[in-house]
Amino acid sequence: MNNSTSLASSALANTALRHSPKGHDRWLFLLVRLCALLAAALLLLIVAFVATESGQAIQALGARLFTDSGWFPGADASGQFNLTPMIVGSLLVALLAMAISLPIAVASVLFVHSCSQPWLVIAYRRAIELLAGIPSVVFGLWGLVVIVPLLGQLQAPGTSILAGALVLALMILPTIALLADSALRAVPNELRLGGLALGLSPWRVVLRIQLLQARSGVIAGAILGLGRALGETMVVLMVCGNVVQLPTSIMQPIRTLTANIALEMAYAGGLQRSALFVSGLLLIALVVALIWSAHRMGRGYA
Amino acid sequence: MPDFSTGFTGNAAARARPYGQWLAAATLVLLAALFGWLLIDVIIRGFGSLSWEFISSAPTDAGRSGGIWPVIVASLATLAVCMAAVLPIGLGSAALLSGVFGAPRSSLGQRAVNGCRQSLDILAGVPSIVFGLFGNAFFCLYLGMGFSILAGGLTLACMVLPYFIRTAEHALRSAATTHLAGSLALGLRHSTMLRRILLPAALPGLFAGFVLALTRALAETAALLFTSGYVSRMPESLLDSGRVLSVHVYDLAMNVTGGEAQAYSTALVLIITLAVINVLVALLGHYWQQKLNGAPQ
Amino acid sequence: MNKAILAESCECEPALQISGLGVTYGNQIALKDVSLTIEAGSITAIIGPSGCGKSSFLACLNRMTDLTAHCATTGNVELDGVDILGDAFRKPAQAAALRRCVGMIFQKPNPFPLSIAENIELGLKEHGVTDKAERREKATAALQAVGLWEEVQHRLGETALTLSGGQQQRLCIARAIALEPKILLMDEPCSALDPIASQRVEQLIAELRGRYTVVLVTHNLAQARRVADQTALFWNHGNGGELVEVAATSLLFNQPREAITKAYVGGECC
Repeated sequence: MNNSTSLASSALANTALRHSPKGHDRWLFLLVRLCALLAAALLLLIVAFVATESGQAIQALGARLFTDSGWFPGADASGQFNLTPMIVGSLLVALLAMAISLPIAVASVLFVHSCSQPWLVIAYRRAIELLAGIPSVVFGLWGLVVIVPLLGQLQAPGTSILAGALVLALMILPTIALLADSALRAVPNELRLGGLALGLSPWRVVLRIQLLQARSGVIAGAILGLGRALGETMVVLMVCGNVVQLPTSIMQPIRTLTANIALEMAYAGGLQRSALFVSGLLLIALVVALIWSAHRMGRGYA
Repeated sequence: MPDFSTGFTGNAAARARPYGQWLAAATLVLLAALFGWLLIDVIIRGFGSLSWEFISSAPTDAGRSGGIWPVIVASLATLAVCMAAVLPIGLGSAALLSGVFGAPRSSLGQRAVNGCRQSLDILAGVPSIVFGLFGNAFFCLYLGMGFSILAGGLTLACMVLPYFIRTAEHALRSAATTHLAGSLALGLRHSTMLRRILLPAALPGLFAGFVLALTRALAETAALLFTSGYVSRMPESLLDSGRVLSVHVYDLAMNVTGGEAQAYSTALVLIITLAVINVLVALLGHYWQQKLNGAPQ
Repeated sequence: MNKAILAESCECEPALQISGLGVTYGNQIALKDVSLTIEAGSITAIIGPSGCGKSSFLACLNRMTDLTAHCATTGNVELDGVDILGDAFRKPAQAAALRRCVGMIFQKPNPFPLSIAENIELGLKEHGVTDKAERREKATAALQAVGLWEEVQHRLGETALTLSGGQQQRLCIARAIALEPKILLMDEPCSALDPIASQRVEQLIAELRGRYTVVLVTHNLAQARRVADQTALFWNHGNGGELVEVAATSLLFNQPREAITKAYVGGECC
């Protein structure tokens, strides 16, 4: 028995050895693992570098990053380093944009699905995919030249939370709509047909059956849209006015975390540079929390 | 003539006035109007100073006059660096994640694959300005590349890698579903199988991923502000600073008084480029699908 | 030289000795304790209702089980005295050599999206036939052996996806036998085909008798009866498939020993 299972004595094993590839496949295996390792390590690398760079500010300033009397940064600790107005600004603009964008995005998707016209659904999807690719700087330019002067007629100067939220809302709309559309598409067709067979109108079926089934996907899409709004730089940089303050109305200018980085990174040094990396770290933390909760909503649309 | 009325008058009344649906239709119209406004605005204002001169000459007077040729060259160079980094790493990772090399044998391997996927998911959501911070600290300073096209391109590569991997993984996985067992049953090596069967079969999907990554990179501004820099001279090497199209739009709009017209023209060039790429891809994808499905020539 | 490689490889007595074979997917048992002898040059049919472990059994014979996550096997499958479930064959190169000797045909025809000729020549090239003319010669022979030559000789360069389902399946068989295997595993090769194509493939299987050892999984009892020398019935009593009875085909159909067999071949259940 032992003898017969010994591989070396078998003609089959000889065949196997003769055909062993010339190291070709083994290299490929290694290479592919290496690539995946590199891709996976990228996030760690980013977090590590941003955290290292922010270490100086966190050690030297600690809670002062949130309690100082304002944002008058310098290279050493004599400046003032309060990030709170920027955090508030980021959250306000993103949440307001979300509040404007979500109903429009979801309602339009629902309408398109309720028409039961395959061509309309496909045309809508293609259009939204194209619009999702418009560079954010173009939204910013349009906001700066068109929306800000319009709002300025209502109340000067026009660069404001509202301007940022309106333009941002338009920018994240395609993203939310795409995710809502894929969530609706994932609902089994039998459910829709079942509803129609009961004599319900297509609108009712979409609203009461399909949306109900797809709600976790829609909410996940909304959360990820919020993540995009929070992380967006160019639009808020161009239309929000960039004044560091805690706003009292949505017509006031504010500065967001992202705009702050973009404005000051070019010349910042020492503690100021480090404090900008702290805001980067905050942004990563916010986004990770949002993605995690979107995943918890049941669908991995991240 | 038969009468199908049910006598449920309340219900019928509700059905006759689907206010909700009208409202939803109105949002669709609103959406189309807003995007129409944006696009028409860019086209009308941008078309004015758009000409062959504009494309082919260098900017003068801080960009208020002249053209964008060095900016186009810098954009192309940045994109080339970006895609040259994304393609090999992305293809390798996608091949592993798609299960072409078999399911992980140990629970450690399984955990590594899951970890890789989660890390890419999060990476896709990290704000672009954070990639800019990282690129500045890692490529520009730590690796000593300075403000350069190389640093900018590599920063963009980090940013768009997850998009490419996700699309490529999907394409390879569906090719593998059809052909993996058949290939292995013939005793083909993985290298042969990938080269001759899986990669060709997945080509439309891989191409779609490539284009998605490319267009995302082309549209990006924030990650490049302090990695590839602002200099609008014609770049002489990859280690030169170079200003890409989107940064040019930003700079003209925000930092140059009277630069609006040129900003709009540059934005129009950017949008037309993106639209042309997308249309070409749609046509090519259609052609490929037909060819793969074995439609007779 | 190249001719020599392909000619002298697979020098094994193509008889399978299966003992105590079990298959599990994670916690789920798919097959347990199967012992069976398959003689060289014979056709063995594996029959049984769905979920009885037929396909899992077949997948063990050329280690296709390696492809499935969490799939583990126990017991031995000896090919000419060598246990092919041993760890030595886990290495991709060894598994590839094994699969070249033990060909497999799938339920759904799965030609590669290449030309008809390339579908056959790719495997030949991989296994060391470097001479182009020789590859074409072997491909021609394989196409003739499956009776496809007449139909496709003028369009060898066209993509294989233009062939009909039955033609595709015969191409897949040609693709496998071009590698001169000793054993052919067939997993319900006719079930995705229309009746006429199915009859043609079945006829082909019968013609392979003596030249190859064939293990044929089928849910078509009449087919097993027509082509197989030996038939095995698998059954899942709710905790994994088992071998109920194995016998010469005429014996199993006409004088079954087990009550289940009698009921199954008599069409009294399911």
